[in-house]
Amino acid sequence: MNNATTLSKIEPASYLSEPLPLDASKRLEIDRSLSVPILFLMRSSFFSFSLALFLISICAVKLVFPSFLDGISFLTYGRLFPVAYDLFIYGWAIPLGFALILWLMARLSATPLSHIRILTAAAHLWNSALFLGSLAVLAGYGTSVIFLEYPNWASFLLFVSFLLMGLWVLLLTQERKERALYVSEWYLLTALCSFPWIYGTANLMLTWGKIQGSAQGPIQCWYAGSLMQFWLTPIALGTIYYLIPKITGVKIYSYYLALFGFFSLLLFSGWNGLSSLIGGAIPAWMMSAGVVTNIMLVLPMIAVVINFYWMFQESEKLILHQSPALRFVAAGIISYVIATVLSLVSSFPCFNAILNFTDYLSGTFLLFFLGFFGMTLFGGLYYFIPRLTGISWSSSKLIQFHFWLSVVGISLMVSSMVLGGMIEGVAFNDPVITFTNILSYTLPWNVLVTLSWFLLLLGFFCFMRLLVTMRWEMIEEKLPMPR
Amino acid sequence: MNPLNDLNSSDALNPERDLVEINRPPLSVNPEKYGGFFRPIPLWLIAISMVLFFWAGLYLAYYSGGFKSNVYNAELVAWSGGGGSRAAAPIDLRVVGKKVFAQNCVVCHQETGLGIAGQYPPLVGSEWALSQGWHGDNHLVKNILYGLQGPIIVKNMPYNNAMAPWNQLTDQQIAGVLTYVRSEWGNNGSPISPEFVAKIRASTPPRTEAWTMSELQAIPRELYSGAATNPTPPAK
Amino acid sequence: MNRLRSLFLIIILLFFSSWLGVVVYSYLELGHFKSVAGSDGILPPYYSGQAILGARVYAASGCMTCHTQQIRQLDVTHSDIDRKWGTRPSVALDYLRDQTAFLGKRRMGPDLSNVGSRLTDPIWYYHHLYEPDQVTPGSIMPSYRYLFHMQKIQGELSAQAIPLTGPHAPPPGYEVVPTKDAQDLVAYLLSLKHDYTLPEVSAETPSAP
Repeated sequence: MNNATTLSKIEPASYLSEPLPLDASKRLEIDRSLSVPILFLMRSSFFSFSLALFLISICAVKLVFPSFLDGISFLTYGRLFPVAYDLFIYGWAIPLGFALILWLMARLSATPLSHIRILTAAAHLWNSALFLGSLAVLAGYGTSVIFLEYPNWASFLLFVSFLLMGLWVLLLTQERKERALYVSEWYLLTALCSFPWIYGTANLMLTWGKIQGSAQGPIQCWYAGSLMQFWLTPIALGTIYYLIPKITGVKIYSYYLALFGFFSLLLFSGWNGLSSLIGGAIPAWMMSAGVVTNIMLVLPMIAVVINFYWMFQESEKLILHQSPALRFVAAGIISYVIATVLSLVSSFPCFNAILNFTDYLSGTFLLFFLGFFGMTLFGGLYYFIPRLTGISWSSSKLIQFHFWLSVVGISLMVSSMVLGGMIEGVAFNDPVITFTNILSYTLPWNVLVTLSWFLLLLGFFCFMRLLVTMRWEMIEEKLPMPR
Repeated sequence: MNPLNDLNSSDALNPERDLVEINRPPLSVNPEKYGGFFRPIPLWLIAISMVLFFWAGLYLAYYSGGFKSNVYNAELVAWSGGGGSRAAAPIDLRVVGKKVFAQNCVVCHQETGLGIAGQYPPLVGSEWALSQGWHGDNHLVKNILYGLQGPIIVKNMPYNNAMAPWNQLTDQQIAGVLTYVRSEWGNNGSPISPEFVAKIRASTPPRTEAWTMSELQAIPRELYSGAATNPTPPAK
Repeated sequence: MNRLRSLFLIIILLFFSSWLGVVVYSYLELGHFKSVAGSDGILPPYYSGQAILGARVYAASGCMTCHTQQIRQLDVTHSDIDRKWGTRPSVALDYLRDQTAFLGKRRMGPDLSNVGSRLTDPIWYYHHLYEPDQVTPGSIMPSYRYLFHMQKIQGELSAQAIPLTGPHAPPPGYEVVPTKDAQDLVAYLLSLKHDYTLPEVSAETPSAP
């Protein structure tokens, strides 16, 4: 990689002309310009992810053995559980998603990134706010609003640092050399622009300032739903739309389908959070809007999945077997389909009456979060990281272990949560069954869920092991160390 | 268009030549982005979306309570499987009781109601369950509410064990399980009503210790009126 | 350039439909509800000062993770009311006095919106918070021992001492008493009762079993 310096001297002007393909040297220049902030964001997100997995495993054990580590204020379930979820979202999903946005936007607009110092500084600010906020929740300063547990100063710092980071990508979009917008860019820009808006609004109404309690319910649910549909879904879909053509060489099957999928997602996704208040204390029309939009979300799912399906059909089957990235992406797409169908079922009021407040909904969320978003992004990482560092993965065995441990872990967890949730829900609706009896029904399922969290932890260790090997190789070959 | 063909082209300048996902030839020499085809959206998808949109409109029109902020109960009776009929249906105490018994009592008293000799007393023909001798219906309810401990005599056999308190059960559940026990396995005691359970519950001061036999014996016998003088045959 | 602008415009328009419909509507409509004059005073009633402090302890301990505070509408399900967790469905006005509405998403414990009417003995609450599995066998609630402290009995037993006999009983001569946080929390829980009715509560009332 010592030709990096010579390559950077090549004038970028020649790449202004259409059409792409991006020249290899240009690609290298862009990757070099990005590697420092992106690798930093990725490293911190991996750290948060392992911490979150560790904490959630403790929580899972606590459900089976309630006396495990009990009576300690900062390790009590009600504090540990929200912190684990916040680390998943603000520590892992958002920095990692942002890193992917950064990389994909730079590559897709054929523009290297400049002035990365401010970006890295903002990322540091994000990490410190995350760290201090999590400690504050553990110390008992949490707000107890789902996904917005951080105290107001921490969430404000998170907000500011995201604005600083996001501004960078918008500038890059403005200066882009490649003018045409690709499908991935639609999705990524949506995620990038809507996150500060929903995070700012929700915090403004729920933690920075507090509106009347009677209006807080819908806004809490709107935030949780929007976070899923305006951050997790677009980033995963944007990554898939990039990876499949890039790896297989197959063009997008139908642009019209892509457009249809994109706009229908936008139209329904902000409303679907209301469906978690079916039967709750919200006006009837809001509840019906939640029901309707949550069912309509099946349309964007069908549109993108047909597109992906035909692209896979047209591609060389050999590639699908060779590329770990594509294998992870395929698992992500399957999770997306199943999770959408599960949430569709639970949004009919007659089924929701049984399934609401049970593990069924947690299982659906985790399938969406870890199965769809997580697997897709890991697929992306298997593709991007070698290109960022200049070193290939050391062991295909470990990648396979990671893949299968994740697949088995997620399927075991989701199926036991869904089945256990159904049993729990039916028991809830029978007032003769006492509450402690219901708890005894859920116990075996909780044991399975605990087991699957450990499987996921193990799978992630395989991934970390690969990264550590890569790091050693970098030191041995005296490559420019990304900091 | 086979990307694998590109592997053979030895482009010395290609920095990604050795960059592979996994110890394999690089797959990434494809151009950065592709156009797509302008294939039309499949007709069936358009049909599904139109049906869904139509349904959504109807649903919102029917179940939105006029889009008012103070209407909570949209007309969703059709969805919930007839909420009205459920409230109107009379409750069969024996059905309730059978469930409660299966949930909570079979561990000790067994499905046969015979208990375990020397450990758990039987319910079949038991003077405790049927309120014979010094036993009254009030004792039975108190027993369920706060449990029983210490030595007791059932059908002339001594037992010394403890029964858990069940005061978290509702009046209806307690009345149900008592009615069930008193009419099952050939027992022919009268039913116990939820109102009677509520009355005894209200008149018994809350306690943390379980009853003992002597404590119960000290309380005067009381029978659920209406059935006390005129026992009805078991409803089979 | 134009395409970027039009893309942004469409993103913003579609995005704003839900933002206006959910957030702005909730803020303007539900966020400006007024209390109503009931037969026995202003409804919903105010929390006492101690209960407001207790709600903070409730938030800090994350009770909301396992306990909901909502009774569902009768057209969706009867089960909440059949379980005696409330006498009527919750409506938005019920949360008027809450600093944070603890709706909750998961029921690993019973619903608490009317726990103050169900259980009225503060000592029971203290005991349950201290050793849940002893008070309610089979409960998976963790112990909140950090809300209590052990002290030497000064003369007589304190009125608030927990009657502990099981495995967590203090050594002789000592007693376990609640800290201020525990007292606030229990004051808050005791004030959770929706035993009044509001104009918008639907006319359909559950038939008494």
